[in-house]
Amino acid sequence: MKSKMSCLTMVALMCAIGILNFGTVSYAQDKVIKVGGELPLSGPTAPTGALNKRGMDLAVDIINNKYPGLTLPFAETEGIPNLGGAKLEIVYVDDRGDPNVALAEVERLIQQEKVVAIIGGWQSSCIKTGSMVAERLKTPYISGAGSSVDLTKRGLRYYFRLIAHSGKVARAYFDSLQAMEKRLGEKYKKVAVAYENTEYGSVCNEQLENEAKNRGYEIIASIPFDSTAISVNVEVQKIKAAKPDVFFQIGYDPDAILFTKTMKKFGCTPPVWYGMAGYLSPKYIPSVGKDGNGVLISGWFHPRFSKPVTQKVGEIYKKRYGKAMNIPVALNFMTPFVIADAINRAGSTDKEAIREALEKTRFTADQNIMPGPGIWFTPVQPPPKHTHDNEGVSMLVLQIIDQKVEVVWPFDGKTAEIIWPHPKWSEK
Amino acid sequence: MDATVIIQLFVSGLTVGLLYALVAIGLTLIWGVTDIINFAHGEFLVIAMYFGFFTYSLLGVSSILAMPVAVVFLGVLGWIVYRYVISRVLKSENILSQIVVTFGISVFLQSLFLFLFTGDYRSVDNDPWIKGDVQVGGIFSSTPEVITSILSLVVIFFINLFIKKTYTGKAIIATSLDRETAQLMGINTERMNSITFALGIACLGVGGVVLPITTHVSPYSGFLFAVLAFTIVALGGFGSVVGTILAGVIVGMIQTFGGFFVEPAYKYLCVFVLYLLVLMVRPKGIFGW
Repeated sequence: MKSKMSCLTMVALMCAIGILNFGTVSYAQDKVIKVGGELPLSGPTAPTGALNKRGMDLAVDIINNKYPGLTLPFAETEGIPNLGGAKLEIVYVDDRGDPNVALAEVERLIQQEKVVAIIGGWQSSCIKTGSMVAERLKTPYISGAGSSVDLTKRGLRYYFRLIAHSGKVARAYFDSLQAMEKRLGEKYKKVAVAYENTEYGSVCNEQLENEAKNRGYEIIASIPFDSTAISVNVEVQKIKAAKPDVFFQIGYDPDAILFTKTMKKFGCTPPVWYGMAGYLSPKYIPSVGKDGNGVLISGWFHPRFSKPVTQKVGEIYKKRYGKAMNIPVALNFMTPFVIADAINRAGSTDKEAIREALEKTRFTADQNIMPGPGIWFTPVQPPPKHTHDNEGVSMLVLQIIDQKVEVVWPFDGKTAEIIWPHPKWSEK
Repeated sequence: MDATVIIQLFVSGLTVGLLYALVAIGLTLIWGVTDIINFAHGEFLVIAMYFGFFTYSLLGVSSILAMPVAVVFLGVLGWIVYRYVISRVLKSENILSQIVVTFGISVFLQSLFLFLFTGDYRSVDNDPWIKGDVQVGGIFSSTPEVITSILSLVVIFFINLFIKKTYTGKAIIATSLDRETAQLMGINTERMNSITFALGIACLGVGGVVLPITTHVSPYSGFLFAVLAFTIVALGGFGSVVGTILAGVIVGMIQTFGGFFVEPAYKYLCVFVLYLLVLMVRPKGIFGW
């Protein structure tokens, strides 16, 4: 009888300890919600990866602490309200700019780190493989970058994209070009494109070619180059011989610098020169100096863009890091807000509930630092229609003027007067 | 087609070809004399490139000042690698081991670079001594490329002089032609091997330090240079110094003209097609021993 009572007491005690522990663990777990952050923290685009991280870290700080006066979601609270104020935490991985590494690291984040979602991404090729793994493992993936138009044409249920895709970029380029043609009473005809040969460059080239043909321009040269090229002498000589009116150079950090140096070496100056992501690298202007003046760049963001929330966040960033916010910082800045908002509305960390909440995302213009009316996603649609592409985004065209990046189009939102045509090397 | 375009292509092909020859000269000596295929040749070049970059970024001086240090360092490193790694594998007479050992050194060096310097791309953007572009008439080049071309000719001239006119040089030729007979004649062939390996690696220090001015350096930068160096060595003939410079220029020209008139994306394809054609007609290369 006594031994039976002892056994029962022991069992009851063990159950109580187990329940308490479970409750303790569950409570501790709910206080921090882990999401995976996939970025190139080493490799050729490491400088831009580091800036992306700064933006995401600042966003998490705003979500987890009080920032009165900011109109961003969760700025007035601490943590995610519907989950008891649970804090958001990003677990970062380095994809090194390699899609194979991205695939492995995203899988590790989901399987081992048990993150509830993946945010971030910079290179389209890495986002492509990372999001495929996330889809297989039924985990939401939100990329702030990744302009390849194909990323949202795959019909994936778990992948969401914030950035304006390359089709919209191509439209903005040609809209700005035709606006200048109208202003000057000129007509440009011949277009040349040099593009890096991964997902990003190849798809962007397709969009530019489509847009050019639809608007009556002639593509006189379309030149792919290796994304890790050590020399572009032949490519530039080909472009110079073609004598284009408009030149597009689509690439990443190292090749933007390589092309600028090589075009200068061969004295090649097209009348109009558009660049893309690589020209936004923090290394570009310090490397080429005044030789970068005059390049027009696709603008997804500008710190002096006339939105109060953009300017306020820009001030916070400048105070913290000593420099103005730029596109690589801004592009993934909103991803923590979007995922936190979805988790909040879902009221849980269940991935399917988060996914359904993401589909109903609706940010207003004041809740988003990027140009455009806000953030909302297209529904799941069969290819080739876009699934979960952000419809609330708008494009700017920027230009490097006196080694600073300014908004030059749309004209009513400009921060400086456009330089046109592209200045000769001796005039820079 | 404007004649200026053709002349420009010729000048570009010549400068890049001389650079390739400078990289390949060490490989042809090593391969021709020791029969070792140095798969780590590109990685030794990357060591020189990092020398050039860090001289500029840490000391703020021209990367060309790193040249004598890089040459000596690489020469000593080459001697050590031969003496303590490669010579032991040569003694085993296992051909597979001989091939794999330099491949292993290549993988080790790449991993070491990644560990020490990360995979970030680096370049020398404003060298205080070697900067600016060169224009003669309507023909363009850059100061680093002109300097590298001159260095290439100087180095190859002195190596050729060394090989042809010195006792050690003649002993190296004898070793490469017939090792056993050379031994019978009293030549220390093992010593010739180690001198050749050291010399071959040291040559990379000359052009390697200037390369970060025109391109970027990363742990994987040496791969393409190594592949092209192998092509040049096979084309020019194993162990032939004159063959190397000629083959280097031919490769530079084919890459430039082929890339321009066919398609820039196929510039290296044109080089390898030529390589296969030459091999079919003359397997030992143009001036092979």
